[in-house]
Amino acid sequence: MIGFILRRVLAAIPVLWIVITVTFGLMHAAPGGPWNALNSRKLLDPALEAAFNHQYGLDKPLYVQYLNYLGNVIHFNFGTSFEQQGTGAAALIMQGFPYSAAIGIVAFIFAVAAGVPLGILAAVKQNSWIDHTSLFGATAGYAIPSFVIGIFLLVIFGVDLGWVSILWNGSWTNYVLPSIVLGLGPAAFMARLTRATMLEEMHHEYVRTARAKGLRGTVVIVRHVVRNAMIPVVTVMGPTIAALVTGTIIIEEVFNVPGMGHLYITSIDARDYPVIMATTLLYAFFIILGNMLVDITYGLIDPRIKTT
Amino acid sequence: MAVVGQATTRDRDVTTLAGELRGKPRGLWSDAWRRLRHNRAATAGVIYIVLICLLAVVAPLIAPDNPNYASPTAQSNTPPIWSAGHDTRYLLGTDELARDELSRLIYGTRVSMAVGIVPIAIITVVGLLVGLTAGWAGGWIDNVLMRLVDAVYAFPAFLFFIVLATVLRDTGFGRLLGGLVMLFTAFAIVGWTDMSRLVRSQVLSVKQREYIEAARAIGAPTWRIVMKHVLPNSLAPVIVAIAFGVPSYILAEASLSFLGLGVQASVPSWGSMVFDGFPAILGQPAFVIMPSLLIALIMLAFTFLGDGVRDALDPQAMQ
Repeated sequence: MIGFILRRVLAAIPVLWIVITVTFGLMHAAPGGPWNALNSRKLLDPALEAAFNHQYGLDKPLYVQYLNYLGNVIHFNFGTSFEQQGTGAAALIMQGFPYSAAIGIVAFIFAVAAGVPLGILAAVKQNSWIDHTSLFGATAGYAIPSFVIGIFLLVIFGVDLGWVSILWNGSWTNYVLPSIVLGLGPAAFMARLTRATMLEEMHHEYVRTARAKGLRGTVVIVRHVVRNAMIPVVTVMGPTIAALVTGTIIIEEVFNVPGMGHLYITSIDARDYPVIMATTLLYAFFIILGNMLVDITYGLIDPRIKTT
Repeated sequence: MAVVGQATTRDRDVTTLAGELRGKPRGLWSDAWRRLRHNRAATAGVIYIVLICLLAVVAPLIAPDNPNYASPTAQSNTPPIWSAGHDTRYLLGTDELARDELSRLIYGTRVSMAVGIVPIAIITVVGLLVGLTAGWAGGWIDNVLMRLVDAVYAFPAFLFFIVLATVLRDTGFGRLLGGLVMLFTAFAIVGWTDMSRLVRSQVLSVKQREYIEAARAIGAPTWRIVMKHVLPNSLAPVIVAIAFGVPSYILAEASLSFLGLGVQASVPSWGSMVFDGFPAILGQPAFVIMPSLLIALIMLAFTFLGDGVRDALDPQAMQ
């Protein structure tokens, strides 16, 4: 058991390393450094540019910069932002992180709490109107991109009805739409998947046996069937977490949330390397962490997997 | 000494009876095709997709105006025809650079279709090559290829698109075809991994079947076994992957363009039209709604089609 968990944790480290290396390589392959970003207003005197480069260590050979960066990352030092002099990249991210985290967590809870029961209900009442409407709703929620749904809802509730503000004013109403819209796609996906796995389980022999034994009603069957049907659903939570994490980038742009995603986009525009790298790493870290936790959970709930 | 008439009648009966017994040819693909045709949502999806493809092809003939240049007499941000202050020359209004909205929406079909089809084509070819090789050869070739797949797969796809788009946007390469070549490359680099894994697992299971052993026993060369037996029998999940892959890349391009990171500024893509129209959302939400609606519809169409294809090819349903 401990060995299994340890193996999963260790397997995540090379993945993180790949992300760090690729991001570093790509960042430094980009044309236009932070001092002459092509859409920037700043045009520096060459001597000044050389001084800045020296100060930030940008004139050292690439592999030296890479090793320095690697060493810093291990010590959780992500450097200072180029754009906002003197502020650490990590500090900037931490400003925006709470908003993104709040929306992401609520979205995840919504996705599971709305998607799974809906899928179970649809499977149990197969081919009823409940099934058909929820299936259609789930397909629509899954197929239509989140920013499209977000924009529709923003226009309806923000522009036409005026119930929520377009701009961020810190009240709890600002969190409602982004969380729901972010969680809607995963919720729809979970509903569809849960329904499919439930249907598959319900056709298995043990269900017939349980019914023949006289076990009472749908409730008990649901308790048996649901447990087994949940296994594929748990495996899909890894990609769901990944989708939620990267989805916040888009949702924050739609709803003007002052979170990490918005910081990410502005730092990309400004070629603010330290912030770009730090944010990319943080996103990748959460995705990898999510996958790892899901892997471990899957190993815990399915006794057949523990041996791998 | 059969009576001719009687014999003929009997012959006809026998032929007809045998014909009925024989029936129409049935096999894996015709069964699947029949199931797909009966799926109404999937059929509706196909019709819509074909319409959009046609629109993409004949766009220059249908679009009333040039999507990239504003006519000197046009005003920017003219509202569409159902709002006050509209201009009858521009049915759906003009955007913030005074370009005709309707024409841009029509030309947007080209970008969406291109982004849907080209990466998938590349990914399918590469995925089949890698998957067939890894699955059939096994051994160290399989190991090396799968390690490579794992390494590429490790990087979260959307983050990779963003980082790559950021890096390449301002280079010459990034400007080819208005940024489309860069998008094709990014999608292809990320997408071949899934396809390879899919093909490889199919090949591994097909490899065990008896007809492969039989083919080997009669001395068929490897390439013929792979091409004539392994490949066709591995295609079902590939087709489903294609059906679901196309909308995922349309979505990726729309999302990236919405963030300002996809196609170059001048290219009329629905995603970038949402990006352009977003600042005016309070005053004129129509400019944001229209391209969003088109994105939603094409995604729905492909999802219905993908569902239909998957249900049609589902081995369980075939029993």
